[in-house]
Amino acid sequence: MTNTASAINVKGYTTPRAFSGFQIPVTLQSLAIRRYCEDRGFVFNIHANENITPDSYLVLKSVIEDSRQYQAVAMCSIGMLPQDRRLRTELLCQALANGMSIHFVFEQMVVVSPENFTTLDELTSLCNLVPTDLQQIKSLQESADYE
Amino acid sequence: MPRDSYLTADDEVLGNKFLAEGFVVRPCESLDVLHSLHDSILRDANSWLRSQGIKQTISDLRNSHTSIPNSLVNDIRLHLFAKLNVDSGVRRGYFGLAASLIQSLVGNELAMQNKVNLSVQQPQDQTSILQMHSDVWTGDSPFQVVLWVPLTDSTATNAMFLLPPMESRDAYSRARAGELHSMAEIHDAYMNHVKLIDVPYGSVLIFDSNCLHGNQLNTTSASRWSLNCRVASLLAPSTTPERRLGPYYTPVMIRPATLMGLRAIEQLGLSEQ
Repeated sequence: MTNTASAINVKGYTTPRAFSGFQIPVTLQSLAIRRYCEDRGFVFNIHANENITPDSYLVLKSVIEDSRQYQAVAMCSIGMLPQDRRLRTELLCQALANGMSIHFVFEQMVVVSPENFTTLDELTSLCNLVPTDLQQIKSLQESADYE
Repeated sequence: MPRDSYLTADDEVLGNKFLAEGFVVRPCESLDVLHSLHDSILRDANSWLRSQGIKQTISDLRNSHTSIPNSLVNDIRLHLFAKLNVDSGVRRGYFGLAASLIQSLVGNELAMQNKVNLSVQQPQDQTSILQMHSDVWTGDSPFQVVLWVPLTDSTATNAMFLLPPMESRDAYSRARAGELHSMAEIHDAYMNHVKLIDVPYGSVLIFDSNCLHGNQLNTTSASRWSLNCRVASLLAPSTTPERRLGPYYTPVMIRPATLMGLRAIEQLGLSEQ
């Protein structure tokens, strides 16, 4: 993963669905992406918002296919990508093949080549593995007590 | 029966001191990187001043208040913070300032906060006072430590203060019991027990962010500039989705056995359960 410094045309991508344990208003997601672009001297293009249907990536696919206008797509988190690894890899490969990099604002990560997929997959797996709320921690404590 | 511990004698001593006092101060492990961070922040600060039409640039961060009016401190701080974090190499360099110390205190599989933060506290600046607080009380992982590195000598009232672990736990118990009703009451009840932590330039501070801490009005004649970033064990649980692995921390050290396990979990289909 690297950071790129040259001025590029970035398309924002937001979702009305929950991701990574968050439910963030689309306007705030867009604001975070806009700020990320400003900090790096990128040109921000108004976000495309995904459909609310679970596991739908119709909008993301369209953004990736529309590579004539954009050199990158930016979204808040890797948690917005498909959980299914094959679908995720397919989308990322298509983006790269179209000359787009993929930026993740919260994680401060940029996918610029297939070599970056491993890092992204590992982080996704770790995020799914590590308990992230008090209820999960309590369950762990209860199982430890039981043992 | 005492628990087994295979830590080295040095790590035992260090760990016991950290648990008792809530912090340790040690020499920086990479002075070249520290100087380079210092110089690049100074350079960027002066560029920003020039872009704002301010002619008097900063020659020494300790005297930044002679160039930056307190009304502009937060503007320049946010600008420098953003610039600092555009460079993906900064986190690696920052980690190297205390890599061995962090591994002794936290472990050898680590996740680090995604951004390095910058604080500036100029003399008599009311706007930069950070009231007594605990990161963990507001959602950070209880398993994290904070690596805090001054870019100027940090001493007397331009230093940060910390309430030791025992007193911090006591404060929380009293607040939960309804005896203390606000952070202001906690501040008043415990301010006499806090410790101002002197950290000279060239040293690093690691502290337990379960402990209450903050800063006060800088009544010295010198500005204090410092960086901070949080580190936790890679597989430590979080308490809120916002401050979790991914959006808040990303891995900086993963050992082969963990990668092996992740692959096995996926191969066996266990991750889908």
